[in-house]
Amino acid sequence: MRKYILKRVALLLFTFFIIVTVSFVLIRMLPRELPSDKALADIMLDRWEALGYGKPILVQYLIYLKGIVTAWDFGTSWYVEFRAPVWDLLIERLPPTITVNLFALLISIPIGILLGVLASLKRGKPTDLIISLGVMIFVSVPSYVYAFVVQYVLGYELGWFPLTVYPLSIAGGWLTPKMLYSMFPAILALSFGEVAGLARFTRAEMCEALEAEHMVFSRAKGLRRSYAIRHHALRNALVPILPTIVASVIGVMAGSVIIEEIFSIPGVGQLYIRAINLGDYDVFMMNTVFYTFLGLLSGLAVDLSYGFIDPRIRVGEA
Amino acid sequence: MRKIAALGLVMILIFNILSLTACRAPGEEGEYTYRTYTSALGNNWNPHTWETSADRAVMEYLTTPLVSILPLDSLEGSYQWSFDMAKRVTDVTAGARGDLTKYNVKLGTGVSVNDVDKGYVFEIELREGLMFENGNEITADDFIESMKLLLDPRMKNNRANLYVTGESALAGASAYFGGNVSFESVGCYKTGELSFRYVTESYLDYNYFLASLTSHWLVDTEIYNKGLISSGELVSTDYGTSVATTSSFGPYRIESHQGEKELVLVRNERWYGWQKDDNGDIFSYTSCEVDGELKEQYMTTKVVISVMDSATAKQSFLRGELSEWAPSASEYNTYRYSDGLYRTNETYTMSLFFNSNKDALLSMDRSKGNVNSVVLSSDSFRRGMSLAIDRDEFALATEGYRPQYALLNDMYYYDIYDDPTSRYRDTPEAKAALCRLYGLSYGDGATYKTLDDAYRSITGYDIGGAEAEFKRAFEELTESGLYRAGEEIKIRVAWAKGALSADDNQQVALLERHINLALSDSGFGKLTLVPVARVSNRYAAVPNGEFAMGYGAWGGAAFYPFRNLLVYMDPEYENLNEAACWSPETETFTLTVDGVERTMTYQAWARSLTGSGEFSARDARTKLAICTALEESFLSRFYRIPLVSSSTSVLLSYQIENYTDAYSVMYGFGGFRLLKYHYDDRAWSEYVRDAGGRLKYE
Repeated sequence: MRKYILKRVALLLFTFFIIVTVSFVLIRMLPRELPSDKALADIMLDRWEALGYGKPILVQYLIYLKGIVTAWDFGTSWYVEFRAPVWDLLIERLPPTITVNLFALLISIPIGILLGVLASLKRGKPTDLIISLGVMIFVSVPSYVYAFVVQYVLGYELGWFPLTVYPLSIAGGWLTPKMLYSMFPAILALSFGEVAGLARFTRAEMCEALEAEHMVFSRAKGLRRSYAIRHHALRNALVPILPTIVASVIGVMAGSVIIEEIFSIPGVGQLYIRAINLGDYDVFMMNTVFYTFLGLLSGLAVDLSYGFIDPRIRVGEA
Repeated sequence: MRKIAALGLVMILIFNILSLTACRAPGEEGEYTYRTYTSALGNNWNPHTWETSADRAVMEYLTTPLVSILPLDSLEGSYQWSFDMAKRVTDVTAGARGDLTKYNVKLGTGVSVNDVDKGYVFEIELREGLMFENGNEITADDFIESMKLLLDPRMKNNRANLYVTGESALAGASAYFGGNVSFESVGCYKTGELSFRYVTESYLDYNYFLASLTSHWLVDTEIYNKGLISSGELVSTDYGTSVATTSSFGPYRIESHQGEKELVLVRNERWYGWQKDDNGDIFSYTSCEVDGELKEQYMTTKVVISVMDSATAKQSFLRGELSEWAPSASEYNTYRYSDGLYRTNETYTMSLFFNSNKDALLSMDRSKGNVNSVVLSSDSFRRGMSLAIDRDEFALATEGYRPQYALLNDMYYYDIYDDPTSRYRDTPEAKAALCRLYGLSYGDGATYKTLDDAYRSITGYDIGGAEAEFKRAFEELTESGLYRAGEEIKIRVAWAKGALSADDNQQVALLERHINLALSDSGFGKLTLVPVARVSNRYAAVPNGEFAMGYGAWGGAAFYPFRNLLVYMDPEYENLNEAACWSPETETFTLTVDGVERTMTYQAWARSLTGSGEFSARDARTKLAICTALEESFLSRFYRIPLVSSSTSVLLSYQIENYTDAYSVMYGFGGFRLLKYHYDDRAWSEYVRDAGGRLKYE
């Protein structure tokens, strides 16, 4: 197992390096937009030249790597936040993203699993049909559609919640009651898709587990149905579900670009959009590095988690 | 299972409790909060490096200009200069001729230093008691040192271009900014503790100099220098990027700032303009009489700028949580009769512009998805297009658009400071130029009796004329073998920087319909225009040979229309839209000025009206005559077809009102400075609550 983990980590790092290198080259090759006023354009060109953007890309890349290795310096933002170190910028934007996504996950997991189990137990009955219909709708419709609906109904029509997430000047922190209250519509909008996805997955796994031979055997052995469901069906069904939850937990840092835009959450998703729109290369690169790392990490975590969740599974040891 | 269910219930309970505990507080009595929004919050309000309009918006609360403009009589639309940080600004050229030589000032052609007695050296006397928000006094040294930092060649500050180039360029600034000389050779020097001189690089009228002082370069050098670091070979400062690195000298200071979320400004009690009443409350009056009396200014006690998208902003505004909201063109009709709606026409004229270079067009036909775009190389074809477009109908496709027929629309003024009614487009010279361009005659025996009659009838639309031009183009193009009868024409148009809207598609459909109507019997096949979205720089993409045609707007510099010609005629000034069509550096134009016939290149003519150009110091009427002739000559080449100009609208909440409803190009509706409040925050909260939390503005 240890050998397997080391191999996977080495592969992760290699893949990460390749993606980062390719991204760096592609991002630096993007054309920069210059103002049409030639005097101003000349000043901008001089600035970029002084910042080293005129050097060969390989030299730029080596400077970039040296900065990371020797000073943990991922570059500087010149547009999103003038002269801010991009690492600091990313760290600054993580708390709101994590808060919203984590709460969405905390709501989604129990509700999603609960609905999935319920649907499987009532398979073919009206309850199952209603849940499945809801699941179909919420899986098919993109989350920003709910976001608009939630914002309009809860924020505008009913006025129960603010239209956007509170700033720190009002809420006093990311985990204060005021902040969580203002985040509720965003959390709700993020939860719909997550709940639906989990419910669908749980239902499918539970249906399979309920029809398995060991369940028939359990009942024949004289176990109560509820006991058999809890201890045999659900436990088995959770084996493939839990790794996806592990991936989701890591994914809470990734944020949701559109939800953050709609509810004005200054998170990493919004940062990514701003960096692209403003041509802030170092921020764009930092985000790419960050998302790449998260993606690879969650893939690794999912693979490894199978072995930890169910000791019968031995990954890579066929 | 039970645990999972219990967890879900607990979560729901938590949110219910939170929703009860976290209700929003009502507004406060005696407070007047101005709540506005932006899609991206400014993050760099350093006067030397600011980039976006959001940056500038923040900067304007934190600074006070040396001079600004206030209404004199708002009903008449007359204006006055308000001396703010400056107590006095004097043209001292006559007594400081030595500066002209010392700072290497550019004199007009044939002018010697002894002939000069105005327009080059200006003395600015500062008010007493000016200070930064930290209590540090502001003196002439601060202005000099700030200018030195702005022009520091190591920093390459982008806003240095305001003082290095243009009409109000500072003498010697260009050389210092280029790193060639010391600051001693820059024409900005101290004459007293509270006075300094500004030597312009070339002649500048006193009023235009005052206008240049409405923006400024002052920074708190202590904080500025503390934030200096080197990145590569660039030296930069973090001045004006956070609360800690900002030092206001305007009526407001930053109370809190959360990146990409919110900026809160409160009154800067150290601003020179505030007075205190017996209760300790602060207030301010204008330094000069407006409509016959001193008016209360900066009534707003707090400014909150929040980040939100336009759809959210609309909901927020209708719930009484924003002081203003800008309806889009498609929403304009819903609110057009609202008392709170203020509409402003813009200087920007949207036009079709072309790459008319035959070889470039043929190349694009082979490799850029165009079919027979080479027809655009024909002057007659482009002229036919211009005459075929019904601009009135085109303008109706988008709310707020007005048909246009020239480069410069009716928002330009040729002598604004001496005569605020001197609308460029209303002059006989400008009217006659357009009448000639569109073939309208007037006078005895002509279709129209007077010039005004002819001018009023301009529509730019002449289907008969268009058909004739297209027939002529067809003959030319088929004879030269560039086009075969009946073949389709398909042209990709660099249409928008962003995504295409429904209005865009409707406009393209209208253009196609109008042009095809006139093309039908000409021998040409059907024309298809393919609008292309997300073209980052349309103005470069067309001359560079990426597109045969583009659609875009140009405007600005409303008070000095003569400068605009540089955009079209000086490739060294602007990234020329029509560069692929002609060579203004070599093609010449002949014009009679002062009874003398003169022949110069288009570039030279355009330059002659600005900076140290031959005619830049001449009277406005002479410049007007040259400008209209150049505009007419350029338009007659049909490298660019003006179509419409746009307007912007803003809806103010019932809590506030602009100072005047009569728009003036000089001071708008009175601006934020003279904004009036009908309700304080407490009363406004009650008003909104009584209205059920949702307000109607239709």
